[in-house]
Amino acid sequence: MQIIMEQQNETTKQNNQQSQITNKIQLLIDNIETVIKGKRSKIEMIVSVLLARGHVLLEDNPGTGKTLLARTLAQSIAANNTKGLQFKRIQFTPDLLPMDLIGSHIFDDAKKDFIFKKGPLFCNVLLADEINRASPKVQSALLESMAESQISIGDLTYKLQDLFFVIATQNPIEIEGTYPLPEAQLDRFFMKLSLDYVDSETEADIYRNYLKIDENLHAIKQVLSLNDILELQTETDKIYVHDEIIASVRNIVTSTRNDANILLPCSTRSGIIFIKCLKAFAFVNNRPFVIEDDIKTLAQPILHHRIIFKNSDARKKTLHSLVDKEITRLAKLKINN
Amino acid sequence: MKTDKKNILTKILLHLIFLCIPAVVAAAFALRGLNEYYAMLENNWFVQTCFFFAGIVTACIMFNLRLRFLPITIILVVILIIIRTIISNIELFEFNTFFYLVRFQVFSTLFVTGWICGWGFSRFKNFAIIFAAIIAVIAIFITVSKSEFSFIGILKTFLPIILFAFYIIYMSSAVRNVITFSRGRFYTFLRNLLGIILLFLLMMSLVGLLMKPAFTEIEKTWDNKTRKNEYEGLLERSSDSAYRMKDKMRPNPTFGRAKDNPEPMFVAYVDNYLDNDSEIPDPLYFVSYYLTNFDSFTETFEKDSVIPYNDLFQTAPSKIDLYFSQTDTAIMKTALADTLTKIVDIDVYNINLSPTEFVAPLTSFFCQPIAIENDYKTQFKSAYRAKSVVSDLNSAYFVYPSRDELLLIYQQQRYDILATVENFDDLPELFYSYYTRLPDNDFIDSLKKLTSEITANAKTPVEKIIAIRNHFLAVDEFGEPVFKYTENPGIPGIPGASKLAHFLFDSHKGYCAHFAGATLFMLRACEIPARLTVGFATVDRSDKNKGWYWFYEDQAHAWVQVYFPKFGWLDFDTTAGNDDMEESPQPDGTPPMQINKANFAGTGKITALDTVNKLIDFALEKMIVNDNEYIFEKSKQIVLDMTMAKILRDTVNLKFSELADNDSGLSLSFDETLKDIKPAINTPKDEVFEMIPKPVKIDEFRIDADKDTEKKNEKSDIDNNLQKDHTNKISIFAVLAIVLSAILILMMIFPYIIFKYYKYKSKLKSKNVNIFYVYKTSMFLLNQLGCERKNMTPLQFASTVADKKYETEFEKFMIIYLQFKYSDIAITSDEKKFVSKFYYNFKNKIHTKHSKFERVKRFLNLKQTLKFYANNYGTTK
Repeated sequence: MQIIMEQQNETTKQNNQQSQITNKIQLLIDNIETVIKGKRSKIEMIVSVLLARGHVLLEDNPGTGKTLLARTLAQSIAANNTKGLQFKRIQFTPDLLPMDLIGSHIFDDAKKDFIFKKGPLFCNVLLADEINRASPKVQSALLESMAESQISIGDLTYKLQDLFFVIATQNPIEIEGTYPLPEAQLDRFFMKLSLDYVDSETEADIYRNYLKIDENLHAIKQVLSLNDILELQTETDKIYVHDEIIASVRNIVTSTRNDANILLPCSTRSGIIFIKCLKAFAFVNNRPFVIEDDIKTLAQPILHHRIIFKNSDARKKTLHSLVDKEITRLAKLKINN
Repeated sequence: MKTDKKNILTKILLHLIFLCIPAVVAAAFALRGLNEYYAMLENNWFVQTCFFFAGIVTACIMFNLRLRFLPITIILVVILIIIRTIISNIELFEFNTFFYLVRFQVFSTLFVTGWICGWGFSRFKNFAIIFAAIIAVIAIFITVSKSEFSFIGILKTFLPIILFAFYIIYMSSAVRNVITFSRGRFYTFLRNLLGIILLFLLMMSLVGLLMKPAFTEIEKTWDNKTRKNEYEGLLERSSDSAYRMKDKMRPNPTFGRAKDNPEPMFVAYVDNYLDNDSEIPDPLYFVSYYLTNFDSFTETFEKDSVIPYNDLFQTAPSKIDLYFSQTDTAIMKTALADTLTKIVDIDVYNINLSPTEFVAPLTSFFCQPIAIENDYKTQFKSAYRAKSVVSDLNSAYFVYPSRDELLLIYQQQRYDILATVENFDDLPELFYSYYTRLPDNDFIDSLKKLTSEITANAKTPVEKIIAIRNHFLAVDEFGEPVFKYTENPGIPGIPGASKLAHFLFDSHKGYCAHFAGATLFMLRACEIPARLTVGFATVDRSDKNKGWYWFYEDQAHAWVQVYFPKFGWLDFDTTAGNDDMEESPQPDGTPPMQINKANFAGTGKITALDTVNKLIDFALEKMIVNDNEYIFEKSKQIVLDMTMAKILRDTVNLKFSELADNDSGLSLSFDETLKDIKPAINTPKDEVFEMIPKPVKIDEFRIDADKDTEKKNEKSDIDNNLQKDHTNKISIFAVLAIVLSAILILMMIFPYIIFKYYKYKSKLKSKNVNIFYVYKTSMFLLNQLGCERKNMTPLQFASTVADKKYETEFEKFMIIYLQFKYSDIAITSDEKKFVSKFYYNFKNKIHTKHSKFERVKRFLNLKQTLKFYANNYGTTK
């Protein structure tokens, strides 16, 4: 009896802790929602990427609120450079140079020496706006730093911040004056999200309160500290993932390799990223374990931009059918713990 | 690579199960049919099917593994050839080598056929069509080679073939499509298959039921046609392949007895010689029926149901007990003959006639079935003795000119005697009018004219008869006969014109029916009583065995009998020379010379056995002493001496020790001493019994199988046979209907069975509720009621579909279930309680939304159940 009691105590303690932490996440999401309306699921995903130590790419037509969302998020975790969280924003243009991102060596008159002037990359949250408008040179500089978490100039290597979160936005490739990102580069982003248009009621609501958008943005408060985020990130790693979920992720990834409609299939890295995101997403949804719903929700934003499809029809259907197959497998699966 | 392997395995399995095995079944069907017509020496269709099976399976596996066809087949052929040479070189007994060689050839042929089929199935899309076509051709071939057509027979042959063709063509393309094997596709595939089969069965049974009358109609016409074509002669062949004489006859355009190799019908010994003691046998025609009725419209001669002064002795030899006899002495009276008659003994050994057929020269009155010597049992089916009252004047030599002096003398004598008959005045009125009546039409009028011309100079009946004979045997100026015998006389140019008139006045060509028919009317036109007779013409070929005559199929004949007062009926054949008939198609065999004439025969029961002296006490019920039959109301005890006796049960020889009390049987004695007992006709039977020397030396003792039960069996057999056809037809449809409805019912209750199974597995009433099966049960219930999960995750489904529709707590349950499923967190007791209660609440909520009737209706929907197991609903957008 005692043992059971203790166990129960422990679980309640755990639950308390858990709820405290998840409260913080909910706080963050709610905070963002005050500005961005009707996009909670997208916000959850972006937060998941943040917790999974990844980067996110927002792609959609102009005016769907990409930049606003990114700014809101950035501000709610790193507003006004307080509490040591730095937020930088770069508007990418065709004439932007890599130096403008990473910084450059400047001759210091006083010291009679070259000193390294850090660029905007040295921050915690970076909003890379319209990333596909910059030249490939600049793009690759950004992406490299995202992948390596460090910047090398000459002999010197500069480490980026512990928390380095890039929210990149891009316009759809078809629009003029853009340098489309190669698929290999896109691989660096954990998720590629498109915000889509909001539903009609929300749309009307937004029009009604358009004045408040700016107001709210300015009123956004930072709800999480750097330490909070780092703590959440470590908590995320502890989320339990069942072997069958892992098997399903593997099945999806490997099935892209056997599908005739797919030219470039998923890599192993994408599988790892998938698992990371699943954990984070479950955590965001206040669950200490991953379920098949998470797979269904995240498969598209995580995997779709990594795959080169044979044709546009396959682009629309193939991944869905692969995921649906796995979901059905999981739904029928009998697991006896 | 792993998935590839798996794919190949499933592919092979699919090919094997869905294509090869049905193909083997079809091949078995075909082989069975073919084996009936081709003696492949073994005649073992099952083993042959196994060979084919081996071939198809190996080929299917090999070629699915993407092996090359040509090299492997070449290797196979080389191996087969090597084995063949080895076998032929092994020096076994000569016959054995040959036997194994043939067996091996059968094996290799079938194996290679199977091999090619297996290759075709695994490599070619359209091979199924070819295969189905081949099988269908074989089926047609089999049906055609069967002599009997029947609706059920055709249905039995073609229904499976058509079904198979449908199946194999559909299946081969289906199997081809399901190469990337997914379970969802598999279910649709199964469903389609089941649907097609059910639909087809339904269609066929409908067609069968609706078309059956039409089919039976066709069947009948077929039957008639085949009969007509095959047996247009005087004989007809019954289903047991025995011959019977037809009791109808008409002059047809063709006569169907023109067979190259006519079968022998029977062998007879006629104890009739010219002038009693001379060595010249006097053959007699064998009579089956008198066709005394004439239908002038169809020109058909028929048996009359009532003949005045009927002197035809009709009996069925097979229905008389062995050695017992049937006598009809009344015939002698109605024969109206008392001068120059004698009684002739005839022994008939039957070969191909029906055992119920009785033929004997006129005027027979006695029939006694006799046993056949063992040596001749394979040659002859049955035998009987007959006695006939025969006029001295009757003979097959009545008309034909002969070179033999003795015969010429005989014919002249006979003519002289018959010339004494001048008129028919003393005959009974009924008799005379019956046998001289003529139809009234133009043909008869012109015939009368012709007859009066021919017989202008003749005064006595016999002169007229000879004149008519001469008319038919007349020769023209070139020495060619005017009337010719032909089996294809053709038909008169005017449709519906009398064939007899055509024969008599125009074509002069015909066969026995024409000759006899024309003669009959000409005789009657002269007011001479005459009748038409069918039976067998006797041809004397008995150089070696005097008195023995062989009768072949083509000796079936029709002729005329003429009546002379006091002398009775005499055979009168005007048919112009049919030389074929004279020539025996094959040399006559040896007749069974030993004629067993039992001097004593008795039936009864054994009452006591003396094994030492081989004597038995016998309770005699019926006995025959020298052809006289005596029946004892009260059985008489007699001692039989069995020392020499051959004891038989059916055809099996028994030992004396095997006899037992109460065995009933027939005892026969050929003892010469008994021959002398010649009781007068009026001697009382007790006196006759006393005259028999005791103990009687028995030569043969035949034990009866229990007669009564045998008869009953026979009867019930006949009844069964009659009903069999009927029940056969009904039972096929009944079985079909039962199977169909069973499948339907099973299909209908199938969902409920699954539901019950899940419910049972979830152990709702026990403490340890199986949460997985609770989940399964609930999902199944929802699915069956039309609430499908589709491509949603279970949680999505629970929250967005189920809970919204039924206001249940399915989402809450689902969260617990998912936690149980995917996390390492144990389920708390509260949660357990919730789960155990959940289902009942859930069920009640659902039941409020759907009425019981609706629930039952939806649970009968198998399609919905299949959806539950389907894997892919098509892609979501």
